[in-house]
This record gives sequence, C-alpha cells and structure tokens, in this order.
Amino acid sequence: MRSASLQCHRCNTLLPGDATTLPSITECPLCAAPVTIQVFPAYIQPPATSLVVPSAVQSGEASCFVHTQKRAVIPCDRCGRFLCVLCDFPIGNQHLCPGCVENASAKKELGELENHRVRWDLVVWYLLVVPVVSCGWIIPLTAPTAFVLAILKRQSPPSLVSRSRLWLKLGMILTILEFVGFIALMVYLIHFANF
Amino acid sequence: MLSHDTKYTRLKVRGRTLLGSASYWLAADHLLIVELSSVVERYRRIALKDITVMTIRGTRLFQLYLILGIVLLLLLATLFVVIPSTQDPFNYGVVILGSLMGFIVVALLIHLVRGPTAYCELQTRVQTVRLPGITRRRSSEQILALLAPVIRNPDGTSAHPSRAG
Repeated sequence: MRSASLQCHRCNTLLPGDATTLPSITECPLCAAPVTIQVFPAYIQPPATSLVVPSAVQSGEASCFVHTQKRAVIPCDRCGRFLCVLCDFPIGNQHLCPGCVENASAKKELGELENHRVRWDLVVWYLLVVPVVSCGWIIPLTAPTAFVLAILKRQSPPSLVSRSRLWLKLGMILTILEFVGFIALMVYLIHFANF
Repeated sequence: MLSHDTKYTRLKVRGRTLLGSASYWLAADHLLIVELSSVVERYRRIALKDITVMTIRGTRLFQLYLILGIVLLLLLATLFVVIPSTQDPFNYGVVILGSLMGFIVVALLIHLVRGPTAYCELQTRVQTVRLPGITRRRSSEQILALLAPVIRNPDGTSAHPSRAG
C-alpha cells in the first residue's frame, strides 16, 4: 500500500516508482533536481487504525457526560465526569476529559502537551549585550529590566538542552555589574574627566 | 536536561538556523527535534514507526550564493582599483574595501568547504517535516545514515548512533 506520493521539490512532478524502486532514484526525471530517497517499512504497511466505537448505555449503567447515550468507561481524573471511550484522553498516567485537557493546556499544567519554552536566560543576555555593542546610554534602562526579568523568571522551566538556570544566574550578576559599572563611568566622566 | 537523560541519545548532527540552532535527540521509539528560534525553544516529537520516507532534496542555493559572492567580490575589486590612491599610506577607503573583500573571500571559502546545499525531509502518513538547520548535503546524508537503521528497527536491534560528546 502506497502511503503518499513523492513529488519533485522543484517541478512538482510525481516521482515514479514504488517502495522498491524509489530508493534508486537520484534525480527528478523531468528537471534533474538531485534527490535521495529512503523508504521505510511504514511506507508499505497498512495504517494501524483503531476504530473505537463506544457501546450504547444499558439500564443501570453510567452514561458519558457528553454522549449521554454511550456507556461511561472511566471518570475524568480532574473533574470526575464520566467519560466514554471517545471522550477519554489518556495523557501520561491520567485520563482526562476534553474540557480538562483544554484548560490544563491553556494553563500549561500538562508537561506532556508542552511544545515550546521561552529561554529567559537568552532574553536577559540579549538585554545585557545589545546595549554594550550598540548604544551604551540605554544601559540604565536595559540592565534593571534584565535584572527584574532574571528575578521573576528564575523558577521558570529550564531549557531542555542548555544550562539555562546557570546562565540566568550569571546574567543576573552581570546585570548588577553592568549597571554599577555604568554609574561609576558616569561619575568618573562628570567629576574627574570634566566631561 | 536531555543530555543527562539516559532515554535520549544526541545525534552528532547540529543544525544552524538564521536566528538559532537545532539539535536532534533519539529515544527508543521517537525522534525529538529541539529547535531554538531566537529566544523560544520548540520541541517536536516524531514516532519512528510512523516515518515512511526520508528524502534529501538538493537545492540551487549553493550555486546562487557562490555567484552572488563572486559578483560582490568583483564589484569591490573594481572599486578598489577605481579609488584614487592618495599620499596617505593609511587610506580608510582601501582598508574598508580590503576588509570587506577579505570577509567575502573567507565566507566563500567556508561556503565551498561546507559543500552543496540540500534539505532533509521526514515524511509520515499525515505530515512532512523539514529538518530545521540541516542545509547541506553532507549533514543531510549524515542524519539519514544515523536515523535509517534505527527507523528500520525501532525496537533497538540496530546499532545505536554514537553519543555526542
């Protein structure tokens, strides 16, 4: 079974062949655009469909909160509403209803649904470095902003690939040094260098 | 951190984007793509058993950048010749032009060393994911060579890619 057609990225021609012949194609037959193709077992295997049909509720059985004609199989771990197999969202070790998933997702309470994080350490470092290399006069504005951000975001979830907490602490120290250094420079220029 | 997590192995392929970078982490049953775009770190998880096709598609950017660089270099060289020489041995115009030409030559050399441009795509039944930061044929082939055996045997019977330092 063919899962999806492969097209040339340049001329959109359909690349001819099946799972066995596609890997031998090195360029588009029409426009000669170079292409390397690797086909994996999932390409020929039929899709694993799991058609879940909730059974109708019988007398004496609990019904789903949303689909009142369907038999409930599990309660929501957050709100306790009864759920049928369609409404049950197994996330991690929990079984949640669609409403709770939506709320938890909006409040970022479910780590499993997290798909991005803001790197506050980088924000602080940008605020530290950019004024130094561009216009030093904005340091009285950027250094306190960076410091406050570093304080407020010190407990925010860290990066998955970098030591962001360490960089944030280092940034916090440097913002103080930058600010003090700037004040010292101003005092020197005004009082001692007759600036 | 993922580097301390024994479930994940970092693939020795590093992607560079205009405003960030990308790294690739392999678990027993999925590939995790971590893309840093300016100050936001994005995560994308792709189940290995769902990957149907991997393609490396060559682009013309290599030739385009090469031509652009050479044209710019020729323009600057023309300016270099046209600028009238002064008695002052430290001519600012010459210094700036020379620096620019030097910068372009270095950039062109790096471009040539990195080789032809290409991008790599992972295809599942429902989506096509272009691997972020993979812009050269060499790195595309590298990641394909690392991933192909694992996708074919997602249960871990294949040789596991070496861990990055």
